[in-house]
Amino acid sequence: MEVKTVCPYCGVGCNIIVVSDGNKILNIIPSKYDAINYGTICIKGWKGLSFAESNKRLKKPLLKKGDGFIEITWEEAIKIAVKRLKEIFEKYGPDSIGFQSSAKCTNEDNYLMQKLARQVFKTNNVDHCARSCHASTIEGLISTIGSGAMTTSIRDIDNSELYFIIGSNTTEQHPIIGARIINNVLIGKKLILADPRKIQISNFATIHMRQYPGTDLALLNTMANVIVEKGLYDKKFIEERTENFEEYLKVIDFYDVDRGSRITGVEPELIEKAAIMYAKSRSIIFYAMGITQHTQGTENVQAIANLAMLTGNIGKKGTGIAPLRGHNNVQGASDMGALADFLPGYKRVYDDEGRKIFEKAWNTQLPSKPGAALNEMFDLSRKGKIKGLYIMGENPVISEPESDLIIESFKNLEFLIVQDIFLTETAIYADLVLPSLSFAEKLGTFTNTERRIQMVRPFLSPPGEAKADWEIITMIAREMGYDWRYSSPEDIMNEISSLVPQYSGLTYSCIEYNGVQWPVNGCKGTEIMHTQNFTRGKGKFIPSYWKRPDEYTDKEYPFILTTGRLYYQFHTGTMTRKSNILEREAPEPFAEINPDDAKTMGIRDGDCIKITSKYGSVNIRARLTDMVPKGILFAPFHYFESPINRITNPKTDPVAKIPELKVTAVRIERCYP
Amino acid sequence: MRSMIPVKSRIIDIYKETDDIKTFIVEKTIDEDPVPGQFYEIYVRDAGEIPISIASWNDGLIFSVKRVGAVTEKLHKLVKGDYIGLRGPYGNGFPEHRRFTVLIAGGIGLPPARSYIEYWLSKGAKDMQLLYGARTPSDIVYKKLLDYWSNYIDVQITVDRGDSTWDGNVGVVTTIFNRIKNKDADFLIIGPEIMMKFSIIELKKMGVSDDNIYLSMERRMKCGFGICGHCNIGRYYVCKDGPVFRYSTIKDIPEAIH
Amino acid sequence: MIYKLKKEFLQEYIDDLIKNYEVWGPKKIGNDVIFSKLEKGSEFTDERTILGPKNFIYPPREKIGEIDDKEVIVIGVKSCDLLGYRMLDDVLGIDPSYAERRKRVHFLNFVCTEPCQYGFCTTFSGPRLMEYEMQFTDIGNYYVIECNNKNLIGKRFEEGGENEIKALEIIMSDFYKKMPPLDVKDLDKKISWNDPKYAEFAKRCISCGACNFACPTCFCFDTYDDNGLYREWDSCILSGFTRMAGNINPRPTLDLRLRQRFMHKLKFHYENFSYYLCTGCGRCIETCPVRIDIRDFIRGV
Repeated sequence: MEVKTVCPYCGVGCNIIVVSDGNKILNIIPSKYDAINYGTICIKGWKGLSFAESNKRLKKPLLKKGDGFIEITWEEAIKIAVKRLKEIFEKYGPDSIGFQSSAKCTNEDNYLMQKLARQVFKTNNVDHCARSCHASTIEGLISTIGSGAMTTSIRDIDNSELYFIIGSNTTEQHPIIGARIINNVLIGKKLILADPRKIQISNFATIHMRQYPGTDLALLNTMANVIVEKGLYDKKFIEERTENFEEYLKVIDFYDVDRGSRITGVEPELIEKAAIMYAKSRSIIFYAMGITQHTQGTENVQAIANLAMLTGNIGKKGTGIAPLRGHNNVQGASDMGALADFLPGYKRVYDDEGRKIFEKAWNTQLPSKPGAALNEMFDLSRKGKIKGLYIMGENPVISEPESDLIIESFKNLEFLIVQDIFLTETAIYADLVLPSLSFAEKLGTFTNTERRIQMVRPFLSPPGEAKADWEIITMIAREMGYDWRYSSPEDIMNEISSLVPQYSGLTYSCIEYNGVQWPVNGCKGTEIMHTQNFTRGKGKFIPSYWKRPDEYTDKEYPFILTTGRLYYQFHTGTMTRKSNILEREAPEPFAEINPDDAKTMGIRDGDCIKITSKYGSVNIRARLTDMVPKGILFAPFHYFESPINRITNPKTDPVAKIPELKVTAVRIERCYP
Repeated sequence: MRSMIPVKSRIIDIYKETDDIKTFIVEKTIDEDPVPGQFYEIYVRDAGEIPISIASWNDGLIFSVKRVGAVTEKLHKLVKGDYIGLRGPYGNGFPEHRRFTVLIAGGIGLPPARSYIEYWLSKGAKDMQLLYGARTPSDIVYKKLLDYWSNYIDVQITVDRGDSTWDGNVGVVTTIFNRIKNKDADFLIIGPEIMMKFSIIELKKMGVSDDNIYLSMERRMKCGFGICGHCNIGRYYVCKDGPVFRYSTIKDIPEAIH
Repeated sequence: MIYKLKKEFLQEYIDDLIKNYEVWGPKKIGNDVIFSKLEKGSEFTDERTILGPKNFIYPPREKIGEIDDKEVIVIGVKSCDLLGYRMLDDVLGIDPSYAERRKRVHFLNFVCTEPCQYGFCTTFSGPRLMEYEMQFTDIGNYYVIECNNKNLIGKRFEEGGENEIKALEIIMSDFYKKMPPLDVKDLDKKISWNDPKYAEFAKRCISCGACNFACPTCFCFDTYDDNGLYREWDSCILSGFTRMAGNINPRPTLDLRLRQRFMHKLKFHYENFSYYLCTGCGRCIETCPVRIDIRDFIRGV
């Protein structure tokens, strides 16, 4: 058989056709779908699917016994889960349980997970990893333009004249979008890159600004200053479509190009040139974690929206703002309200009217207080406030900052459920492990970075007794006494499309072959948003002054550590590290260091270095490369062998609660393993 | 036809040579006898396959393995009586002994040199000389064998870094090239490419012709018989056309000795 | 033997094959055309698929030692792919599971009568092969069928002769006019270790490996353990392809790896087998996210 489905890695959402005999993959074929991947896929699509066939997949529910696990039946597992969760719920109250949903799971899975938290356990303690990647995008874009998603489409890249990439290693993290940009630059279009690292796409940059980490806001404000100064802003657009422009002018006035240059370390001429080019062209801004993972993440995102509005580069063909989503379904999981402060469709939990819709549909009273964010859940369990945790498809021991504290927090829990496809670094701490299905074995939908809702279809039979996440959650809800009657993901989608405005009227038959971009109306999608009006009505300029990152270098910690991902690995490696070729390509952790810095410190390529921050130390191999500027270290966070998030800065953006993973002050010394 | 299915073979004995090198004596489950300089693919459960040169054979096959990667790590954890998988022997092996031969071995290059020395000693050939370079005195393998061989052939040892126990030569292997007994000889070089590179430079200075220098090359080899495509140096596959090459054959290939 | 078959009977012919064999052929799925197991002849299209059916004789991933004993007919394979598999035979032919599959998979190829966007097959053997089991060419109302396997002759096949051959040759000469061959004479000698194109391509190559995976002639594989030994298609564009324990890598940078790909196809393999390891199928261009074009490379040499 063959199915058309969606690659399970990044947010690009490449369409692939998998041919299988039900037990093994016979062939993987990139779809010619020109809206996204035009017959191409990256190495993760070609080589990263074999994790699903791995013999190490979880096949039966596991119960902790002593230091190990014993296999139990599903009946026992659900009974135990519900008995323990109920006990905690009754003893400590609704907010004593946390639910972690997953950007790797389908919209349907995520919708049910948050419904389980809210309807059954009466808590908003439900969140997922968007918290650590694009929470600031949601806040930043909703406050300015009214919708926290990419405003345009991947196909629309071809209509643009200029690409401004800031804080995104596009060819490594969103390779097929990166490739589309390169193809356009090769035919004469322009590229402005703002990134401290000399990443691959810098080969094609018309201008490359290498700003100091954590100075993005100053850079964006300075570009705006230049644009205003030169009179290159779109007066008509500002007048007709936006508000609060005067306030914006006041703030950016402060960022004359010399000041901007001093703060960011970028030559004034470069900033000027970049600003003029951006303003004069039909431009799309691409950004990712380099913008969002900061204590000023929300303000960074707002500054991007401001810049786009200032030049009228939004709501038209070939323009817009493109937050590049890390996971296949981080957009969808957010849409589904797997967030502590949002109900499905981005209704604030404290918005009475929004809540009423769901109270009526779910026949219950819903809590109006925002729940605990992903990283707050661990704090709360350490403080004894959260006693039970249900983690679906997340691996916080590797992905979240200060991982030692997370492990410590697990010890405070009375019950920890981990639902995953492998026995992950997090799952080993669980009291109960529930084996779930990967994208290869289940039906549902993913929503990609351009808001495109696409079908995911099974092509392998489930390993052992593993079950789909939505099915497991439904079993738990029913055991809790709720009459959930979902017999297929389609039933769930029908409920979603009746309640979530962006998905209004959507049915599986609409996306049988190609997906559609929300907001949808029935089967009709929206390629470019904000064309006539912004989702919030008028676009609002929200200016902010740049603040120094929470951490900065000093005598004791003279380096800045910034973290990220590698092309060959994905997130905590649960899937990629089980895929032979991908693991072979990037088998071990390393920290990039500038050769000049290394020389001063007597460090050679491959030497063991110990990186120490306020939060702890990690031993890791040094990799000498001028990709990183002096004074900066870069390390990927995929590896349990050198869990870099043990030492990253847990301070968060006060609004979006996203940790500042991109800027941690550290010192280094040689180590001898 | 060449099968890629490993043959299950029992580990008869294990000796610790140095901190990171162990010698494994493995049941000879494959009838075909190797020739000196050939290698086998060794399969370690839950780790994978790696090519390892044969060091010696009689009742069993003897391999000395340095712990450097995931597979060797796992192999080092095995104990007497455990099983591994074997395929081979593969490769062309060293040329036949035809005249005075100087073996230049660095580090873990000694085990393949051993296969040559033992084989030709057993045939009565004594016109050989061994130059062996190790990192430190504690990295020297086959200490007893080296003593034994020196009864028949000239054995010269040097270490990169000495210690209090060491009264021999200190320096890389080329620092003992002045002890080479016969320049009109075949030279077999087995060791890291950096050592090959400098050895060749010195040998050239001594007037040795490219045709008389043989290199035992190392590449990533997954199949062992020229179909997996990993180990090519230009048109040659190290597993099939090598691992031993005349220097004159590969010297013009830019990525041969990098 | 030469036969002809009225075009309207092709479906029926495939239906007959399906009665006796497992038959796979190109089928349209939405915008895509892929090799799919055919349930009935009407599903068949002779459109070009994005990947050839290499996986039938050489699966992307397989357990080592597992031998498939299924007899399969793959109809609608393009000549460029089929030619590639004959090249695979020269290398992989000594592998028992490959050899077994090769015996049991029958490829019935369709000759292209119009050039495709990226192909340059006329540079090598062209769209019509000299060796085949059964080769179909669309000459208007009929398919001309060149047949070397009597067992697969259909009941509606009519005997063909001079006229059909003539029709074939006219179509072919027209095809060659539309797709003039590239000059590959002495390419093996002219190709340079230091061509600046390697570095130029390396600037934009995103190391996806598609040029290898889509190539009908690429044979390299890696082996690994997952409770037993497996092997899977590998790509020489990846750094781990040559990296040894201890991080020693004879091809540490992307330009060297791209060089290996071009030189292997156009020099090393030629030196060993006297033919270029390329059939001009153009699949590596089509599946390359950044459109690295082997035709540009060849023209530049």
